[in-house]
Amino acid sequence: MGLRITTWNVNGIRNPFSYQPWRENRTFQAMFDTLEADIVIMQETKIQRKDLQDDMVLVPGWDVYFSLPKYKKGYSGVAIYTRSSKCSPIRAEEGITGVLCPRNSATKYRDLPEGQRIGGYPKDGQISNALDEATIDSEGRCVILEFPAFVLIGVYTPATRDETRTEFREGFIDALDIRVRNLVAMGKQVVLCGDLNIVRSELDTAGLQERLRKEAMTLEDFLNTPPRRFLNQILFGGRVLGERDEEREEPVLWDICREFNPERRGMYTCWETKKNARPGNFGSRIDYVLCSSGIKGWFIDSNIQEGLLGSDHCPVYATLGDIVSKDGAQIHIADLMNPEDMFKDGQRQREWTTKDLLPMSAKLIPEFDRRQSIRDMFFKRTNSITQSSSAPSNANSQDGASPAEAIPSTANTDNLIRESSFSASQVFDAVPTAVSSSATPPRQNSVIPKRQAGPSASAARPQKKSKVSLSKENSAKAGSGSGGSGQRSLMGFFKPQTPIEETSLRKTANSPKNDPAPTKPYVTSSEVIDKGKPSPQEDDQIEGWPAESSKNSVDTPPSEKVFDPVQNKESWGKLLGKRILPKCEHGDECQVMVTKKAGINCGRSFYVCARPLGPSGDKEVGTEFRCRTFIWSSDWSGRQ
Amino acid sequence: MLEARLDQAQILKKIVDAIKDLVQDCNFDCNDSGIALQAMDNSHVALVSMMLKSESFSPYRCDRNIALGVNLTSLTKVLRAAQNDDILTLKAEDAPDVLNLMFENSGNDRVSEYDLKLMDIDQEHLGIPETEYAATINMPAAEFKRITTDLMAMSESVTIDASKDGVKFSAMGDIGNGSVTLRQHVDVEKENENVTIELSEPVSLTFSLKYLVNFCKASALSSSVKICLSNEVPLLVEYNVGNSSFLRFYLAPKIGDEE
Repeated sequence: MGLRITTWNVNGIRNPFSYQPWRENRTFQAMFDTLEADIVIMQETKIQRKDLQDDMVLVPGWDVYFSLPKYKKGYSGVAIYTRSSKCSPIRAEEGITGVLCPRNSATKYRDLPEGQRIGGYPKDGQISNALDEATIDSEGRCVILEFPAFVLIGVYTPATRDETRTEFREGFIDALDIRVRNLVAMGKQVVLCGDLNIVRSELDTAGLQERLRKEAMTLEDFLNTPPRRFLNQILFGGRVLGERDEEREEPVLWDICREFNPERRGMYTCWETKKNARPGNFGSRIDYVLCSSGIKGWFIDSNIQEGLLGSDHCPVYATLGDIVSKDGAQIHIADLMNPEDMFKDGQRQREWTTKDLLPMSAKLIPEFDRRQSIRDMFFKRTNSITQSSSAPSNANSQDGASPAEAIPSTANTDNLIRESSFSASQVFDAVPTAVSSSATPPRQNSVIPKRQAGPSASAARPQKKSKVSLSKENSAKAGSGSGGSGQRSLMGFFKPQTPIEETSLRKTANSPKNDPAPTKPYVTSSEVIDKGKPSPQEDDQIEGWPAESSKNSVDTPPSEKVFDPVQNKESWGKLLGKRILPKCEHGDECQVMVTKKAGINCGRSFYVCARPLGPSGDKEVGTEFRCRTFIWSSDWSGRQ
Repeated sequence: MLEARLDQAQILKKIVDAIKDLVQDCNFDCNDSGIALQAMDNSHVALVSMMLKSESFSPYRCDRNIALGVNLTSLTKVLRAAQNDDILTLKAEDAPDVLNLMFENSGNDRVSEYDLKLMDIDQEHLGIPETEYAATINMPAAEFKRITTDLMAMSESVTIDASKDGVKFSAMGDIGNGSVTLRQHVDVEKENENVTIELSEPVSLTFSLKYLVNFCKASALSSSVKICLSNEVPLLVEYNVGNSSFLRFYLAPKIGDEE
């Protein structure tokens, strides 16, 4: 069975719950059981202290220790969960340097009496970096637990971002290096795990050649970047170019996951989401479980779990055997992972009690501390006892379901409106052939000229405006349920013109006997609008329409002037239809993206192949992965 | 068939406002004696118990016992459409899919009607035992609200000590500590400012302030509040809604540091 340590950058503590299999049963207990883990180190919890919830702190059977950023909110954050039935630490600290204070105390961890602190704090002068220690530990990046067996350090190392953060990143790494080496020098065993944000060597990242060429770096330069030098110097078997750095003469940790998979390529733990790099496994290995040499033999297995979704990283685990050898003796691992008197030969001697809670346990945060269930205080009615355990989860699931239901329904109505607008325009298109002579109430007339104005003037008007007028028609239509009939009667206004084949509009006007209806209602209706809605835009439309239409009707034969349903649909389609996307080498439509990188192209949009990034990067030819297609938006005419 | 007419829509509005942050979904249990609600919050620390007696309605008719499973957020949305002085009528079939709410404005003849979809809620029902409390405190609802919000600034929890000298609310926090002490205070002319304390034995219990502050949202319902305490028993905070209808909150005390 063993004892499994799993590290996972979850990118938001609730983030995995949006993915299978975690979405099934959105509890941390179920998640950890699925992971089969006994210690879970999470990075990037991205949660503030005030947002900590019962379900993430009071996980039945688990204890948890958080390190959250002091100033930045909802950022970074490390949590270590321990399964109380298998292990409970004897000391817990936050931060690498020991300058932070336990909760409700003004004494720094490093100033605690000898027996109460973990030790190995950077001594004066050991940290050469200009950063002060409080800054290094201000971002919620490190939780340290001590078990009799070893000291477990869970970290989230700052990522490479830009020059402003380089100093912090390197300062953090230096402090980490010093602390680990100090602990080992004290004779303690160390397990360091977490998202180190460092690629160990060329074996641990995809597309390195490409990147080196782009950045004009050599492989030596790559291996000589300070973070990578740190990692390779602290690791047994690390590749160190040239002389070892001072204070880093000896390696002290084993890269457990690599030791169990020495030759494996493509063993990546993190993939860029933006590039959809996971399906093609274009990633990097930056999450590690490292251990000191005294306990290397205790591990029986270690691997990555690239098949488990939930974050841009995958979980990485290492399993300790049930029986381990310490100082020549065979000892049960449980004896070494709990306070001294709790287990003997793997048998529990005493139960875990709240007295075993360490001060840093999140269960002692005031909101969660000394909590008592009201259910236990009242007698339950006998008939409902069976539901007692299912009730809360039920309430939760219903709770979760109702907003989810609400969203599709609104989306639906949205669609409906959109569809109705399309069908409305289709109805409108078809109308000239099917004329109804039904009388039109003047109020509906007032809507109609606007509707007319849209298509007839669409070519001359900027796109945006006609869209606005369309949405207004929608709302007008939605407001008056009988909008459809109003539409039809307007056609009665136009239709008479078609039979009169060779007469111009002027003639029609001159002979009111022929068709008195069309002109008059129109005039009145436009007046109604002018008075009722003096918004400049509508005025514009209404003035534009008669001018244009009369001009049209003079210049062009009436047969063309009448709205051709097909042409009309096309012109609407041009306005409303989806932009025509360029096709990539696969013949698929491209996706549009925007340049984020600073520089002259920042903010420009471009088209690239929409497929996932392939294992060899973005220059794949003739494979199922992303092809080379790249087109600036501004160079794309919209036609194939 | 349920038909219950409430003269003032604001009673239901205020009740739902007061409990919607504690409880998301719950059953309104209707029978011939009135409409009742009982629900625990997610952490099982607090319990809400509401009873709107049939006398609070006019008329009230309920032929058969029915449970109306309601999402309180949705109900809040519907109730937002009611004005405080509207007459509110609740209607439901015997095996209802929806709860019908009708708001009538007596001034003009405006009538609005809403159907709220119901849901099946499996809710456990706790039998709340009749309890003789060691201390019963009556005070203005606004005063209790002020005490809880003031002390919330100091700490996450408050200790309530009731003794023959009075009742003391004290909080100890990171920035310091604070306390508020009230003594029995009776003024016949200003009855709604009275503070009365009935005590059979001294009590001292600690509670989460977050919940108490939450309970105080019900202050809009009533000018006074009744607080009952006993050792080993949840705290009771009761707001009277009139006609012996009530809204009660129970809160489990924090486990003491006896060890």
